[in-house]
Amino acid sequence: MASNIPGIGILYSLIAGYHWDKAGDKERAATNLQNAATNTVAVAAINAIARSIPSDKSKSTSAINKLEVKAPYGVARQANTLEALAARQAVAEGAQIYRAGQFGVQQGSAGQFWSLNNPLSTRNYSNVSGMPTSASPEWIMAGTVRPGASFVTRGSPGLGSNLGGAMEVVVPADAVRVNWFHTIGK
Amino acid sequence: MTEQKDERLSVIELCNYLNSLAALLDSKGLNELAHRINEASKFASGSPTELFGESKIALMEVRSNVQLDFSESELFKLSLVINQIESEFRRIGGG
Repeated sequence: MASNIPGIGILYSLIAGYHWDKAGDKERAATNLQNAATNTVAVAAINAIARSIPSDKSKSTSAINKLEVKAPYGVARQANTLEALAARQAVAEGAQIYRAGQFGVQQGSAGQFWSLNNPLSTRNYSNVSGMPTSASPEWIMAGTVRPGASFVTRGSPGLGSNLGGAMEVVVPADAVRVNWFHTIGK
Repeated sequence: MTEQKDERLSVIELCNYLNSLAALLDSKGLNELAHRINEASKFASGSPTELFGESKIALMEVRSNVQLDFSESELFKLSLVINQIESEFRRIGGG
């Protein structure tokens, strides 16, 4: 997917060549990068990075790959791929995220792992998200990350055999405002 | 299994292994552990990360309880899958 997006070479060189830890503050870092960018795709992704830098100058300025969320299985870190940064920007701007599962198995709205794909409208959702078709969900919910809540975006595990790898959003518990919840009849 | 040519583990491969492991445990009369593995496999209906995370916990539980019941090759495969799960988490940037 990423290779089809114009300007990816420019973006990667900008990300790779920029030392966030040495940046003075959020505004200067964002301005420097925006001046260097020469197309809208790169600017959009860079805006997502700039938005992620804490504005509290008393703290050390964090690199994009230092953004992390404590999760049940360890610490989830922000990916710095173009796709992950675009996903981050979309979530920060209020994109709806989705979660599916079976009753008695998962944590429901307190769950920390969400998808950007709507299972109800995504063809072959189980393959896109890496789920086997035999494990059909009994419920689906959608929500948005609460304003100001921390989150990271990254590829999900299970990329082997070209399965899975869809973007996932990892949030702290209860960081998502649920918009709707549907049960799925069998 | 992708075996050792690379250390990748897909969701489908993990689910297939969980199913075969549950059957193996049942065949050895280790029904509680088989049930534990089946419960972990249900996470496949949701997030792949949860499936991998819950599977790792269940597989480690199995490994610590089957030292006398599993053959060397069965234990090797069990440990291999646990390592592959850990490898997948490293690839995506944490658990």
